[in-house]
Amino acid sequence: MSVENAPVVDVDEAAIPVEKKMYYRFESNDKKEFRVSELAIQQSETLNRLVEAMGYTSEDVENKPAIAIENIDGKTLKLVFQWCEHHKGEAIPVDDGSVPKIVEIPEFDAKLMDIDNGLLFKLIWAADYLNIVQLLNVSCKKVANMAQGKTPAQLRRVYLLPSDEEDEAAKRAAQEAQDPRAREVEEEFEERKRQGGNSFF
Amino acid sequence: MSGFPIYSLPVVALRELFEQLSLPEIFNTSLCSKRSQKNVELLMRRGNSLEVQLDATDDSMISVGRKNEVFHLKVAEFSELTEKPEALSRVNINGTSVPMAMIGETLVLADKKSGLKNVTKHVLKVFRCQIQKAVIGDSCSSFMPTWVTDLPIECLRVDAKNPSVNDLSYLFTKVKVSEKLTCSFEYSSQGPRPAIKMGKISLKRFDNDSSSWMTAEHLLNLNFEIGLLSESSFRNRDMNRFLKHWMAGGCDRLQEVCIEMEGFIKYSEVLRDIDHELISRDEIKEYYSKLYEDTMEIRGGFQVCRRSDGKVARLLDNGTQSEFFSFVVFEL
Repeated sequence: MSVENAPVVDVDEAAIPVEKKMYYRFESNDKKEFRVSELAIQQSETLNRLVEAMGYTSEDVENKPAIAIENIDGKTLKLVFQWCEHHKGEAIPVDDGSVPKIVEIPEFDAKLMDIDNGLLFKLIWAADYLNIVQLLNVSCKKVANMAQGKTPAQLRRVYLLPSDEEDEAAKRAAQEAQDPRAREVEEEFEERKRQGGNSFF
Repeated sequence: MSGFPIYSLPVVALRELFEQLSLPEIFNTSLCSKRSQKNVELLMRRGNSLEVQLDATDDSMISVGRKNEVFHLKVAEFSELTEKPEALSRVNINGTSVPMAMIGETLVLADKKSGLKNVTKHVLKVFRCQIQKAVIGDSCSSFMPTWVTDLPIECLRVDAKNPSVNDLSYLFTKVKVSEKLTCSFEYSSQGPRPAIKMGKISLKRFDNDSSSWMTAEHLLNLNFEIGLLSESSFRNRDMNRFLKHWMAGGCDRLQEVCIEMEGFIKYSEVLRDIDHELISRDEIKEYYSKLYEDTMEIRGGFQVCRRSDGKVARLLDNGTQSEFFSFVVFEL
């Protein structure tokens, strides 16, 4: 079991006087363990509620097993906790309902998200699952930026949007894959039609 | 992963993403396929904060606006282009796959007229809103896009030169306007009045820049709060009929109307068989005119009272050399 020691980013601790020196241990679905400060955890509504409900003492966090996060892998979780440590103590943004929402990506976040689309996709899923509002905002902003100035044809490539024809073909393929007998019947019907038969039966 | 599969994201993330996309990006995403259009419709909040304007004239333009952002979309047709477009792709417009080229903010389609209709319907579905303001027709042509009757509209301006009577009849019997209808179309010939049909229309304001085509029946079919009818062919007997109509409970929304008549007003004819009270010119009453958006003074005039609801109104005394029928209903 490898241990990824968080916080990864150096922080001026004097600037955060209220931080308690307690680190929780979390384990990803590929058995990677992370230590995350209590203040950083507050960025995630899901984890914050979880640790509050657990009521762990300093001894508990050391002695009890790491808290398992079943559906996030280590590579993604590392990014998530790096982000939380960097932004610990910051206020969680409140949605005022205004659109278009103006979101700026800070330099640290831009570097953190300098990753391939597969990992970015997992990061957004993780931010959503762990309910980390600002991480969700900035990661979605990165995806929104991909659409800038794109025509529909370009958007299909960027956002992997199938055309109507591709959707139809996929639907047919799925139907055929589900029911091979139906495909046989259809082929038999087509063959009889070619032979000039009026009635299937 | 070379692309980014947005529709595989969880719905909360997808909503967040769409709140960050600009209007053209949302619109272009909806053009990608029928499925994409449906998804966008589900993801967009009902467009209370959106304002859509339709310019169904030769400009063929739709404008969608929201806080700090306006998206203008022009519709053109291939025959208008001097060169063949470089990138032609099939897109989904209002559920139909059509060839399209996009040049800046202009959608180039096979046919501009039907294209504008389908693009407008697509825009309203995708942004989940209705048209605030529509301008249809063109003072230089007789073309009248009657398909706007399919859509609920707040303010509609109808403009054209010698439009088809059938088109206008269709429009005025089907149109759904809630706020304001402005008619600016006109006929150049001096022949008989075109027999335009008009259904019952209830709305806040009716303005007609060139009302000579209107009959008394048209006027009685309208139920408006504010009306301004210029260059009408109404005579004193028509105004008498309108006044009796109001006294009997018709045009019950009426607050203020000003009608330019054909010839001078004769108060005795206008008020024939109508109970009224002559108010002295020394008696001055102030009121806020919604028609002119200003505080006005009424000096004297002819006061009438509707028995059914007790509403009191005044026919303004503009003198004998006036061509204007001005009528104000006072608030109870």
